[in-house]
Amino acid sequence: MSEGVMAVVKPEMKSYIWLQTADGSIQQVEEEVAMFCPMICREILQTGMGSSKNYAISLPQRVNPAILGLILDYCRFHQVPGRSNKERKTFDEKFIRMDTKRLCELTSAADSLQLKPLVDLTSRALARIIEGKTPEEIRETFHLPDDLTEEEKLEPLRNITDDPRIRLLNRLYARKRKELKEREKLKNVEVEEDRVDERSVEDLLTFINGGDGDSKGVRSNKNKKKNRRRKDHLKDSSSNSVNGNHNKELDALSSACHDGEVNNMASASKNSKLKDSTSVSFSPKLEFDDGDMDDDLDPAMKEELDREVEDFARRLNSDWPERMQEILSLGEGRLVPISMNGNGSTHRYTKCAAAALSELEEMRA
Amino acid sequence: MATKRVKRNCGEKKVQNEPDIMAEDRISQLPDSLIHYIFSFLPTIHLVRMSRVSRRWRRMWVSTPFLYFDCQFNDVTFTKQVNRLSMFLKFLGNCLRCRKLYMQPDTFITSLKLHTYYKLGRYAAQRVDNWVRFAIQSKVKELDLQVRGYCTPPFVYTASSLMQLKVHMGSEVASLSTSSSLTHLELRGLKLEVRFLSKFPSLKVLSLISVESNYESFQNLISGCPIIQDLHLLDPKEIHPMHGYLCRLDISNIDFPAKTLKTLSLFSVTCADQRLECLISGLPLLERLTLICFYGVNISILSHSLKYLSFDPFGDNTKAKFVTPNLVYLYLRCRVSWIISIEAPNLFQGDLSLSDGGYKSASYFDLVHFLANLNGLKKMKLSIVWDEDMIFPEDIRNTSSPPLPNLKHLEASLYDKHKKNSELHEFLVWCAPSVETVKINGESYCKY
Repeated sequence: MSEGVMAVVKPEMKSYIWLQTADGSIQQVEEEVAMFCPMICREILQTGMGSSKNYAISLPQRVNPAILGLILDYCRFHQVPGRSNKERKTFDEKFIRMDTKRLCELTSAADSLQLKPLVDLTSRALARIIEGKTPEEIRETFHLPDDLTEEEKLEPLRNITDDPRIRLLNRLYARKRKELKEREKLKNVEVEEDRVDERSVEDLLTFINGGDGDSKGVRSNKNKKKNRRRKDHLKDSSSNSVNGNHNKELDALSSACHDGEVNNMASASKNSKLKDSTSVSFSPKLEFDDGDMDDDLDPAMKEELDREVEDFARRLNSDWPERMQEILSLGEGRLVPISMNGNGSTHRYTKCAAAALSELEEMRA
Repeated sequence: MATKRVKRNCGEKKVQNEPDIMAEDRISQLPDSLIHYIFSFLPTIHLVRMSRVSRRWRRMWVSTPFLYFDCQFNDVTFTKQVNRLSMFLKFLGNCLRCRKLYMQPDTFITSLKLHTYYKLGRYAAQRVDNWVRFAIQSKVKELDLQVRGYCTPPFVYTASSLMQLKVHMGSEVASLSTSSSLTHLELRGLKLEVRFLSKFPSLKVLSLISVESNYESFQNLISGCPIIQDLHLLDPKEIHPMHGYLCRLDISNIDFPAKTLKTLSLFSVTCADQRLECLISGLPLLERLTLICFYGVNISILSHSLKYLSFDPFGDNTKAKFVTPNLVYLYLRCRVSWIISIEAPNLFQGDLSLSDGGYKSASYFDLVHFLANLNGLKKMKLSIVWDEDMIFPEDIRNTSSPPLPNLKHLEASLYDKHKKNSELHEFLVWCAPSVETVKINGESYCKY
């Protein structure tokens, strides 16, 4: 394959290629190992360089001697044709265990040498590292400068996280999630089964391709993070729908209940909602770091906020206008727990609004 | 509030501070394109979070040309599926809207991946159509649609920039026609229809997994790929012409005109014996062959170019013969008595998973004969449903020569792990006198 390029050699003698890194140091490497790397391969074939110390191939700047050693280890293992896919994967997994700084250097070097399999391997590893971290942790891991102003950082969230009700909402959501996990598992069975069906062919694919296992591995790690993402997103998307239905809801609510409390709540929430509506215009940036934080509010305020939150939460998933009409026509006062996001809830609520809402939930369930 | 830590479910530890004072920022040395590539492995929604890391990363989630939307909600408790789906769709819509807002109108998208297990309604499907159209207008190169019950619109197949297309789990018929730019095509779990004289001049990798179609479509598709290199037919189902039920694809009558095939994988496929032999010998560049759950009676594989072979047939009376002088790696999962002969002098590594059929149908000589076929082997992983009777007694050992003289590394795993390993070890050492490392069920045995 590559023997034609170099001088004829006796079977016992290996031929070596000379490589020079940016800092001037020169290394020699077995030819077949060096040829595994496309950039070096091309240099040899096109320019004939590398055959001796004086004509060493200069490597791109991003490759330093230590990293070059690693890359050559990688090439040395993988250029052997007889290895099974499983072996290669095991090697890769062990190979990739290094500190992040080294990993970044390796990615950079592999990219400049155009060694695509190694770029893929290192990029995936970096993606896995990034995946589970908060921005602060990422900054710490990679020593990135913290160069955003406070405003900029909060830009997508500015008008959302400032709202204490949203924070309360986060906590409610978190609690809800814990309470209802069992119920959800039952309902999830159907969805899970479909995925199980594809298992056997998945295994086969992994076996054949040898590398697909990675992508699935990355996916499975995301689940826990999805938790927060989805919760946030839901809130956000719902707040969008809230604003649209705003006035109608409040009118309907105030007409449905003659409870003075409710009216207060309605008007209070109306005020603050209006303030919010302009800022929640487009909602893809979602982040609520403080889901589990306790606010320093005095109890009275807290109560009122709680009520507001419930009201707010109720709206999150309801098709309020149509449903409201149906509820009004039924008009019974049962005390059934309301749910948020369609889940059951055991939270406090005001009677009338709650009754109306209970009807709603029963119909949806 | 922005500085508070959140209780995490994933339990990932905070990274220790690096001891060096001159903390160097390594990842910033990576060019944008590489950072985008790293990000491409994560769903876009993760990247939204990245906007708070640093100035450079602030708009990465918008500018990244890799869009990946995934809707797995494993840890979240919702009762209604429609909520999740509408959340997913809303996020997607908002993301693309943001993109239009912030980016130059003619920016390219490199890849769009949509993965959702939730079935789309008609309205949602229209929205997805629009998004896919937007992606195609942005010259997307890779499209990965794993959306249940979604019918890929026809303009996808003829998109001029599209190079890689993956469609999983569509419910309706995917109708392929000529596409000049497609290089990778993967279809899974759907019904396929390929018109006559469809051409795929650039297609290099074709994977059909759990695809149902009729014989003509399969033939049209395969004939329409002149430079194909990798072909994977995994569990293809054919609609029986006469009876109308689904059955395993029989490739005996399918013509494979392209001689450029390097990798061929057939899973759950039948083929007439002569036809298979012809097929494989007629592929001068074939390097990797995988036959799994393959139905055949007298299978013979003759190929000069073959380097990697995986063979796991299905049947009771299979007999197989391999003449593969350049074979480097062999994976076998079959009964010992099925293999008639293996001619592979350059064989470097073998992974063998053997059983004797449970009826002790293999005699000692069968086993010796079989192993002798592999006498060039340097490294072997043997996984056996081993019966103690398979270990030769002394007298037979004295009359036969060790079958594996060149074996250097041997790893054996037994199905029944409680059996005594020492006898087996002795036997294996006899089989392979020059072995250097022996591992049985993961335990290393010192030779001396």
